[in-house]
Amino acid sequence: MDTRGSGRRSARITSALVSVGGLVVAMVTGAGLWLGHEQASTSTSSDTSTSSSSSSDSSSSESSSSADTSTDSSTQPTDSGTSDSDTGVSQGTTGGTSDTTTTGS
Amino acid sequence: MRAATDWDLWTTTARVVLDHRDRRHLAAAESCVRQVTSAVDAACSRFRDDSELTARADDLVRGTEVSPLLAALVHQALDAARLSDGDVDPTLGRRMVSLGYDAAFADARPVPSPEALSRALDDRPAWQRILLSGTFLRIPEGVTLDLGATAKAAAADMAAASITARLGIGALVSLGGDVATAGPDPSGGWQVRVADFEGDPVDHVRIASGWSVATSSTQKRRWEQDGTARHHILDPRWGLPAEPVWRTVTVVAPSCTTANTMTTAAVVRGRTAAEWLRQSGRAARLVAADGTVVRLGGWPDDQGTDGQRADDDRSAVA
Repeated sequence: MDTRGSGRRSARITSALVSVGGLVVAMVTGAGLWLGHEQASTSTSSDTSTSSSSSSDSSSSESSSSADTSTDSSTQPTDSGTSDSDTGVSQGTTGGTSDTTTTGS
Repeated sequence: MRAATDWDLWTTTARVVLDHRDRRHLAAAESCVRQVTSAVDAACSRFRDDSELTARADDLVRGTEVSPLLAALVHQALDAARLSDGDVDPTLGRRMVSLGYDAAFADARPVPSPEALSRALDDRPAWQRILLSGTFLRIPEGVTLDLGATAKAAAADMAAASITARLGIGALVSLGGDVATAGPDPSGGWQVRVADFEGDPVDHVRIASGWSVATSSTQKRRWEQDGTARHHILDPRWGLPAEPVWRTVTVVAPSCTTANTMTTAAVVRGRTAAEWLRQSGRAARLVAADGTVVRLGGWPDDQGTDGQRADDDRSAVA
C-alpha cells in the first residue's frame, strides 16, 4: 500500500500547525512581555507616589498633650526643602528649636 | 512638634526624639535605647570588670566563641580600621590607659619610656592580627581592645533601628552626639544643630530619615598628664593624641558607625582630612583650630548669620 501521499499531507499539516502555533506563542509571549513591562512601570510610579504622599503628610501639626511625661520641644516645621538623597543632608531651619545637637564627645 | 527624653549615659547624654504624633510610644522607645546601650555596655565596656570583653580577656587570647553582639561590635571596629587604613584603630586600649584615660580621669601615670613606646610601636598594626570568624574571636596577646570609637555609634544605629522595628515609627537617637535616625520622617524633618562649645560656629541642618551624623572633637574628653594636655583621639602612628588641626569634624553618612569612623579618621589625618573627605563624597563640616569652617560634599552652605563662612580658606586647608 502506498502511504507516501498521505504522509506528505500529514507533514504539511503538521508544519502548518507548528507555524500557526509558533505565531500564537509569539503573540502571547510578546503580549505578556508588554503587559509585564506595563506592570513594572506601574509599580515604579506607585512607589514614587507613596514617597510623595509620605513627605506631604509631614506638614501636619498637633497640639501637645498635658499627659505626656516627656519633654516636648517645639520645633517649628517650615518648608526647608527636601533632603538630598545623595548626601542625606540639606539646609536646616535656622532659628527654630533643633531635635538634637551633634557635638564631639 | 516633638516628644523627647534625655538621660545620662557613658559620661555623656542619651536622647531619643519622636514625632509628636508618636508621643505615646516615647517610654517604649526609651526602653529600646536603654536595652541596646545596656547590652553594648555589658559586651564591650573597658571600664567594667564584668563586661564580656574584660572578663574573658584570657580566653580571648587563646581564642573563644563570644556573644553575637560582641562579635558584631568587633566586626564593625575592624571594618572601621579597614575603611580608615588603620587610623581608627581598636587596639589602642592599653595605650589609652597608659596615657591616663580611664573611667575617673584621675591618677594619670607618667608617660612611658621611649623604649616602652617603641615596643608598642613594633606591635602595630595589631588590628590586622585579630581573628574574627563568625563568633570566634582571638585577640593578640598584649592587645587591649577599645571599641569606644565605634561602639557608641553602633549602639545609636541599633537603637534607632530597634525603635522602628518594634514600634513601627520614626525615631532619632543621639548618644553623646552620635545621631542615628530610622523610620519615617517626622514633620519638618530631623533638625540637627551642629556645634561644640558656646561661641563656636553653629550650623543647622536637616538630616534625611535613615541617615546619621556624627561629630568628633579634640576639645572634649581632655585631661592633663604631667602638665601636657591630652585628648581621647589617638594617632595610631605615634600612640599619642592626634594633633588638633581640627576642633571638630562632622560627617553625614548612611550609618552612624560610618559617620563616626570618618570623623575620627579625619581628626587623626589632620591636614589631609579635607581632601580625603572630599574624595569620599560624604557631606562634612570641619572646624579648624582657629574657628574657620570648611563645608564639603554638599553640606549646606547657607547657614545664616551664626554659621561662619570659610570659602576663602578651603583650598588652603585642604
